Amino acid sequence: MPGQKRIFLDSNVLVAIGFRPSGEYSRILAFHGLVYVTSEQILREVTENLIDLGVEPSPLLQRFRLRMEITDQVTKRPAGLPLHDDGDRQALSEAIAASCDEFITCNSRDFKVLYGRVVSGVYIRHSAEFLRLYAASEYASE
Amino acid sequence: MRNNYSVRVDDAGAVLIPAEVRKAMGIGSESLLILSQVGDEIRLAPSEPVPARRVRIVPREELAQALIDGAITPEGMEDAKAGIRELGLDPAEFTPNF
Repeated sequence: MPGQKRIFLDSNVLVAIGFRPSGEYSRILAFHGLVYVTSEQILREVTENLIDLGVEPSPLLQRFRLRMEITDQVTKRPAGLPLHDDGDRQALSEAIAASCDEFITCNSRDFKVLYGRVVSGVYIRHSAEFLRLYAASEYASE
Repeated sequence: MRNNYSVRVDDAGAVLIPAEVRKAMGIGSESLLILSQVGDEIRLAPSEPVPARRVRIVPREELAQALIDGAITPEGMEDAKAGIRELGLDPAEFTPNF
């Protein structure tokens, strides 16, 4: 819908939601007025991670697909993204290609230098900051 | 270098990118560009091919830190600690960064 912020969720955030469905991260998908986006490639990665953690992925993936817009894998990406890892560059490219406003991750090892920065129109934010920011707005609107 | 150029679309839908723009942007024959429609504008950005992506297994420590960082209520903190124990790690080794 026009005017709604488009939020791209990285695989680690979805893994955190899937691993602790009763935890705080699960609240993210309940925030109102946001369009959540991720990619098929990231959902594949989430599946592998949940299996590795001993969590049955099917019900969660179904939930993610119902709540989120799933983009196709991009076949080309902006040159010169300031990331060393190919997977990170691809995930950010997917957010850029899907016209997202924010890219949410908790992979601080690779993204820490980008927190608070805008890359090709996408604001990079740590998931914990995102959670606090939108949880506060939800409380305020209740 | 100028910021605006008038270009005409030919019968095949092609437009010519001025030589000085190609030179300044490092665009050569067979370069990949991303074309996007932004409102009433068309934008072109240099791009590169994407190699097949490896699946990344999130390190247990990264997930544990994420759980602690994401805990914003006492109940959430308890759940995060339970999750960290389930990962085989000691919650006392993780302190919130937020």
